[in-house]
Amino acid sequence: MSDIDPPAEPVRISGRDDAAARLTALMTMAYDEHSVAIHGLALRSTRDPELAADVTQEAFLRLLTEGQHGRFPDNVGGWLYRTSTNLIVSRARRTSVARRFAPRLVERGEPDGPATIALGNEQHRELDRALATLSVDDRVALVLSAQGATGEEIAHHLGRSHAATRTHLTRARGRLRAAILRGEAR
Amino acid sequence: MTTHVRFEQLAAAAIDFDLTRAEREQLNEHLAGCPACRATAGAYRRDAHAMREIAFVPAPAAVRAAVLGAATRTAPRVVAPWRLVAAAALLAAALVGALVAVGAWNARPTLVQTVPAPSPRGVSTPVPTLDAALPSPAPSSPVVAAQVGATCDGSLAAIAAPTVQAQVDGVHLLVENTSGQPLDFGIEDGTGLALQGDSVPGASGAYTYDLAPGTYRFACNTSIVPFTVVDPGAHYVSPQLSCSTPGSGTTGTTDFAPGARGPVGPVLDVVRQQLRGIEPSDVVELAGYLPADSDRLVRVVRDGQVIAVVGATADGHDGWLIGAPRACPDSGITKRKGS
Repeated sequence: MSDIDPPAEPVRISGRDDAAARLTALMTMAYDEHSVAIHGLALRSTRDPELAADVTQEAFLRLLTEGQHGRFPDNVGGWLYRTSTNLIVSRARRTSVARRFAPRLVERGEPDGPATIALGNEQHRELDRALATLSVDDRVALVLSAQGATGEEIAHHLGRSHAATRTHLTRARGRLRAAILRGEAR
Repeated sequence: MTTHVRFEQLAAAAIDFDLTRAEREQLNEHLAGCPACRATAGAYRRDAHAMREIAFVPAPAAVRAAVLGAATRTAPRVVAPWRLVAAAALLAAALVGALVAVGAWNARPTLVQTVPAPSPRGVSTPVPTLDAALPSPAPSSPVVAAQVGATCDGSLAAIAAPTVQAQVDGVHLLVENTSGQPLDFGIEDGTGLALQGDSVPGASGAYTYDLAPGTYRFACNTSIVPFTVVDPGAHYVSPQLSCSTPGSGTTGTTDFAPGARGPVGPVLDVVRQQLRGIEPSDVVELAGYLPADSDRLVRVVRDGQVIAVVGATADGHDGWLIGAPRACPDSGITKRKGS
């Protein structure tokens, strides 16, 4: 998980060793390293492909802004997780989300990704249906855990205490299990 | 009972947190003698394992294009003299291209039609949508191209004719890549939000996108060039839901397992059959453009309002696989279970 990752290797840029080129290289590296996890977190937490793409883009653009102001974080993964978690929770709680993407934007023209492949499995479909019954906070915590975050890291990303996070995540697992059982009973 | 609940919670907590030594010993001792709690603990672990399998999902290519495009565009760059020469050449080529297009256009009077041709899709139910607010083609627009002809040398982009006419299967885009290396480009909406993104591996690439009539931007590295999509042929039928807070579901097609089969028949009939909650008076019709591939988008219209949209994919055996519909919450439309 990001919080315990070693610092990134220094970026060597041949020819254009200037700050702008360095920032572009840092952004490329950050995107390639973390976008799959950030988008997965957003997609599974919001269950809305358009919103997930929006959150992912917004998180990385905010990272770019930080870099432009000379504040590129040392722990890029941790920063992205914290930012995207905040974006997910705040946006998903809105009753109305402006859908700025054109219809069919996300689904069409994309290669077969783990989302579609994984959801082809009946067990995963049941899991997805069960997730739909949980709160966004529950989903965020469970997906962070699934991506390898420790309890301490989840607490950090959610901005909660260790004890509160342990209680929350424990109950979330119970709610997920109950939802899966309800689905199996139908 | 309370005891069992406590140990089930400890079993769940053990997945993410280090239990204290006392907690661990108590849990192990209890699980050794309690098959029910042991089963629950196993189920928690299986749930966590299943979650790991769906937790990582690549973002759409359009997001990457937008992020890295912004990173490149906002970074100050020193433009080499040869780039300025190349830019001038590009702009000159664009101007020549535009003049040629004007000539070609004038030579083809059937391309611009004062009276829009009837849509091959037939007459669709008139539905008030956001599209009505989009800019309509200006009658005096001098050049309307059949495709977006964009050129980019890796830094500077140009479009010969800034107004393009939608075709039956969508908006056509031809990108000439003069950079000598694979070229990434993006299509943004009027606010700069990325909608599509692709890479041109060679000297040129042809693409078809389902862009609704409106204004867009072609973004190539540091350069952004606007263009407008018009639809005098009324090829585009809006799949936009009339309600502002649709329920879950997808607005596009879904990928199915290889070899999957769906019900056989006309796609609109299959959709009627596969969706629960469609009333006899509801209009079920094709939406979006008619792409050349085997995907279709279908909308359900009730009392003039688009209440549901669903994607359909041909199974290659005259059948159709239907995705999860995106529907307005009060429409009562859902996918039939097991379909």
